[in-house]
Amino acid sequence: MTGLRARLAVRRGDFALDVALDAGPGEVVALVGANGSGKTTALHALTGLVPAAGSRVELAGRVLDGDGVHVPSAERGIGTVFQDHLLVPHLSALENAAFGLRARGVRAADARTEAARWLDRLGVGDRAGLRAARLSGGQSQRVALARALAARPRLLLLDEPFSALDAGSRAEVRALLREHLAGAGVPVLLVSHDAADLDGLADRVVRLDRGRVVARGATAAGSAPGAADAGRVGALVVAGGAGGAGGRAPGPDAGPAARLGPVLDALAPWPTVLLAEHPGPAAPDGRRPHVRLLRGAAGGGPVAALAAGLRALGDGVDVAVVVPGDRPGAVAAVPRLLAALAEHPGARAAVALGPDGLPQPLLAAYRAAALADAAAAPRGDERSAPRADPLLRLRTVAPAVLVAAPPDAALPRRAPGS
Amino acid sequence: MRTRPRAPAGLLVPAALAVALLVLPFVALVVRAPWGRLTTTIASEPVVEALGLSLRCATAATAICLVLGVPLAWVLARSGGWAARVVRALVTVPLVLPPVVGGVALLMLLGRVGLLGGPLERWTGVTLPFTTPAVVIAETFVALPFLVIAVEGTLRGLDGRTEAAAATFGASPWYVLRRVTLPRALPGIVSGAVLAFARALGEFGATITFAGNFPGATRTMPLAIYLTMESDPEAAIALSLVLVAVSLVILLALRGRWLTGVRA
Repeated sequence: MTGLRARLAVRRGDFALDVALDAGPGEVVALVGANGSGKTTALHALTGLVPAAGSRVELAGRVLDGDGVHVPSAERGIGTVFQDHLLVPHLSALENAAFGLRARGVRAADARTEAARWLDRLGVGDRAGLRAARLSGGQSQRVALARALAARPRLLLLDEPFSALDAGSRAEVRALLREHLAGAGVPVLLVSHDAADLDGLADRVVRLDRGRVVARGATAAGSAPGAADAGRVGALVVAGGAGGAGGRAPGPDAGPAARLGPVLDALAPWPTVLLAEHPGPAAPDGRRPHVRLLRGAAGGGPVAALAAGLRALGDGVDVAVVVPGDRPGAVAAVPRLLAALAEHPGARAAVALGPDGLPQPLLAAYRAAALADAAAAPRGDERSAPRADPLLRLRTVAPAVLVAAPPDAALPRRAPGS
Repeated sequence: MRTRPRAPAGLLVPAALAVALLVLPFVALVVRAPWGRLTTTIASEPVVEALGLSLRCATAATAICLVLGVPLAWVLARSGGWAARVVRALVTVPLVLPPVVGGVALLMLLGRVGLLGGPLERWTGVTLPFTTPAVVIAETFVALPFLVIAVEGTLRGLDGRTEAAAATFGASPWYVLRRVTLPRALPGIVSGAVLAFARALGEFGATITFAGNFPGATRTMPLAIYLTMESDPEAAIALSLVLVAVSLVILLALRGRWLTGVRA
């Protein structure tokens, strides 16, 4: 495998980053997510700028981190456009652009020729002699791009590389970059908040939230407006299990505790509420600080229990993921559900389809408002109908996206993080 | 426009006294100067000799301060922990130490019976005290802390991320030091060197204790002024004016450009 294969683990105070990232040669992978979700930290971990013990990074077949190896930043062959450019202020634009080549021992004259070519292509050739400290924000960003591209890196990291450019220059520089990348065959990681960057440059999108990957998808999915809302996720685990499509209520049986534990672990670090009467040994304890136990909520039926769980999650949650507690493999569907919800900003829920092709309301992602509305809806049918469907009010949440769920067979090693 | 509260009148009086205390001595010096025989006094052989020796020794001391002090400042700026704090405290000791004490301490180390001076003389026949190199050593001893503190402050003020970013482009630590760090720290290095030079030029106590007072070898301007004051006060005034002039020239030449500290 050429290209980039990385599993990054960074710990900084309260913040923990744990993500797997891959990018093939010539592939542009966009990292998106709210501020503080770990995008820039991930890039810095790749360059070796932050200590990342426990990480494993392989680039073009060479191990940069892992196997007891830690290759210093200077020898990684990674070119980065930093968020605040970080040009060398007293050097000219030309010397900045030539920096990577000269640092690696290319003759000064050759390095400057190559650097001047890049400054010209990026439209700042006339600024070559100016000290970097005197460049405007946009010029400085172009010089930073020239420095990264002229160095002919084995991996290109772009941290908001167009943020200082106006809309017109953005499109122009983006087109230039796309043209260059097509021929360069270098893996690229791109951090951007601009949907046009994602559509225009990225092949794939990886969404981060609080240091974890919460969604992976094609470009359109990642860049959909409102997608960032999926960032604040909470989880509701129905300890009694989903009972299949038949909609058995979460009853007093806690389900086999051996299955509940992995489900709860897989949902960390999202705030999680466990809905149960008798939780058993997998109950929240010191090992699972993200889990709260809510007892006795099932008395009013499953929908009321979920609504109580949602209230227990608090106002900070935009999307509630509902997961049956007795099917550890079902957790693997959660990233798909969140991605689907992000892809369809108009949808109020994303519901997994069971093997029978029927929607499973207890393996789904609901926008908080939709779940609250469902609980508040009149429950006439559930009582009067001869064979009451206790999940009817969830089944009628609309519009909803239906998502083909993977079979439950395999328990993901670290869903939803990987 | 910024509006600032006016200084209370009670502050203005001591402030004016402070200015007077700093300026009036120079006024007196100029008023009492023997302007008629100024040129002949300054051009006399002992004065030229003392001035030349002073400038040479101060320059050599400044050079040594740069060679030793910049690396020390770099190490201090980049390390934390108790060891760095202890070293920093030790480095600043000569700043607060009476120079005469420094001279005595240097004698104890490098004198003919000193800790290192004894073996040095036995094995190589070299004796340092009361020689021109002793002047340079004494001046370096008192001037080095000025340079280290100025440069360390500058290095600490620099954003280390620029260097880290430069390193990711394949630059070795030496390359980063040469092309990124040192040029960025240059204002601090220059102002530190100026301070060190001025301090070395005026050094008296450590010099007379450790290097003595031999015309042509160790009698620098401050020593010459002190001695002349006893025999010919007017000549001492003339020599003092020479040192004032040298100091002013240095300050004016570097004014604004370097002494204002670091710019981004």
